[in-house]
Amino acid sequence: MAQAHPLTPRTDQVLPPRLDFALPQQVFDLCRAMSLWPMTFGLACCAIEMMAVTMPRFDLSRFGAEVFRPSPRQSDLMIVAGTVTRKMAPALVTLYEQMPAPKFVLAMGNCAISGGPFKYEGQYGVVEGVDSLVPVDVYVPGCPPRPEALMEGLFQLQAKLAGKRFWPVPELVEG
Amino acid sequence: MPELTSRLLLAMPTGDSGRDAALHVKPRDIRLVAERLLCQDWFLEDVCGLDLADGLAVLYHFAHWTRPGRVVVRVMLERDKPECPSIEGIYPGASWHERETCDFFGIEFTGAANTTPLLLAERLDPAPLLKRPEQRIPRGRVWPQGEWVGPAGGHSLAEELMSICGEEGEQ
Amino acid sequence: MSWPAADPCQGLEGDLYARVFAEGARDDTLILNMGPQHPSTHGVLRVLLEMDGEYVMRAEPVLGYIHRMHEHMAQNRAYVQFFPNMGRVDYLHALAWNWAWAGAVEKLAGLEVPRRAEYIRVICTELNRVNSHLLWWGAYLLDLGAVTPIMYAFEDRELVMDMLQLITGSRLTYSSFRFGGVLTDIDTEFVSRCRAFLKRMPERLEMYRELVTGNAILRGRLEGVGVIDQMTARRYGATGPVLRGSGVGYDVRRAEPYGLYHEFDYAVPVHHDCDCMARYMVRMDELEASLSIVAQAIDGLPEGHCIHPDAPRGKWRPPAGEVYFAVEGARGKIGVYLASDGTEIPYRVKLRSPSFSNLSLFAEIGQGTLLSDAVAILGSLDLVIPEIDR
Repeated sequence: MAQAHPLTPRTDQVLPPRLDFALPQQVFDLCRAMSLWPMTFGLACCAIEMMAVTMPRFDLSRFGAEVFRPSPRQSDLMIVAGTVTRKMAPALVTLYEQMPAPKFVLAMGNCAISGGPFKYEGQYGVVEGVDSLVPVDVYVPGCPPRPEALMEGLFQLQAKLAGKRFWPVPELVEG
Repeated sequence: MPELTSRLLLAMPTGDSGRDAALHVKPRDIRLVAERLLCQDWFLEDVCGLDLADGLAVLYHFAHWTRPGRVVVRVMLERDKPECPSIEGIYPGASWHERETCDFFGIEFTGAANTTPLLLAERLDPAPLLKRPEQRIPRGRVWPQGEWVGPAGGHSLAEELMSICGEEGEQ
Repeated sequence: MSWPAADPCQGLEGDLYARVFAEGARDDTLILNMGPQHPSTHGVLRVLLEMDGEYVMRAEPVLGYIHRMHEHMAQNRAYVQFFPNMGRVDYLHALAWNWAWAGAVEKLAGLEVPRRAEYIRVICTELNRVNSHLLWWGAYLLDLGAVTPIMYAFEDRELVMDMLQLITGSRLTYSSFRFGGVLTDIDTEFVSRCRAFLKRMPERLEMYRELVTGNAILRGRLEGVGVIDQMTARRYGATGPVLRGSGVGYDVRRAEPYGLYHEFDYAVPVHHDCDCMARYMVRMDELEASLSIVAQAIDGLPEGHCIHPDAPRGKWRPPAGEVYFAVEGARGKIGVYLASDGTEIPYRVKLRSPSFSNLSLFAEIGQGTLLSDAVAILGSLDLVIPEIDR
């Protein structure tokens, strides 16, 4: 990359607490993991699967991420669902910065992970991976990922937050 | 092959190429043609740029709610200074198509009210859909000579549009 | 690789678009920036609004936030490799775009499609249209403040997606058409599921009608709002349900018949009120029309191949020339212009997306409406932003 990147990637994580009490912290983490408020940030195809995951068949609210908020100031999880273009990149960084900490980012779909199908020689418009703009906690591959995959991504985030997995691991199905 | 930038108008019978008539007009006549087409209730489907060895082409596709067929109006522009009058005063829907063509091919549409980039964040140089010189093909390959039927070719709309464009060879 | 200038969305005067837009503003009005992240814009549409109190004085959509270079990509890959892109241009009615691409190349090269393949195409495209309209119905009502209908819509949508997954292998971004046919044949399980779905839907649609369509609040929000007269529709090139809500029975399936649509008996729904309610009614009627086409196609499904035995495979060279092919998508007229130079890679592909033209008239009809009505108008156009930006 010849030019300097005006959108400096954020590398800072959640600030350490001033007073660290292990037990209350565990309680907080548990509460946080069980009440994630994702932001409705549908960019492209993946947004439809993100909608599907909150709908009756998959019903994400069973697992503690029910309240999709349209405002970044009310949410703590940004699900980047779709392709991030260079025109959109500044807005995405602004939205991330507007979210109150602690905040988490889930890159949903191949576009958000790496540019996906839109990464090829000579491309002029797509950011190849949202992790060059904001720190990403969980990557969910797929084009688009199935709703089950997004749910698994959420479980991983919960495990990252609370230190343990709450939900059973699905059995491998042959074939 | 006849000179495309002259006021020659061509028509072809409804074939398998998805169009009814293809007309070549000079850039300054595009507004006249668009006006006449609007009077006859044609609507603009899209404006499409095309990079050829002979220069840049702008293709206007028109279709009709009740008449079958499609009219293609082609304008050839010089590569050094691609400028074409805007038809947004006649078809306001053309405005976005023209801005898009400007984004992708660097073609300036004169007389347009808004010239900010539509799809790109900023104008790129070279414009993204322009071909490298060795990739360009002559227009005869896309529009084969066999399709040329002759002036207006008995197509009533084409004849009418030709008449409003004035005599061939007039400057 | 160049990055955008550092200024967008920063500073008080806003970016380039905001500054250009603000030049024509009155002193006592407010410039409101709606989007690119706004729940009612269905993605990343941005609309600049000049507000006088609650009234919209001027509106200008700003596009390009999800421009994914489809036309550029087309010039960089073999013909068959462009199908996955077609599944992603308009992910809600992906199969119509599949058909537009397959149809354009077939027309250029003069390829034949077996009858069975044509029937399969009709079945899945119409099921996909049902899917798209159901999502629109739910999301539109969500925009208008009714939260539950989308849950009902998704229950039906999941059934359609299950069915389409059997033959296309994916839930959303289908790319199962091929030149000269379709990739996979349909089996008895698909047929039985499809029949069950066709049996279920009339009851559901009746429930939707009772619950929502007759609702006084909905009618109050939609009737007389966002009137698009025929002249405006023509000058902006509006097509699809937006145009049919303005009293013009223009449907590409009838006007420029393709596939085997001429063999099916269905009425093109037209409503004459030109307002948001008319567009709503058109889509609700189209659900029934599409289901009726699917029923006829399932009953009359001929035997044969699902793809022509001599269909081109892999890197293949069509003849040189140009072609324009249009199909009727859920949002309107989808057009593909293809110029070929006779090599393995398309020379130029232009995608005509219906939402692009339909949205361009918003600047005109949005003027003078209330902000909440502007949201109702935007929703009634049934926008898919990646299709607009391509």
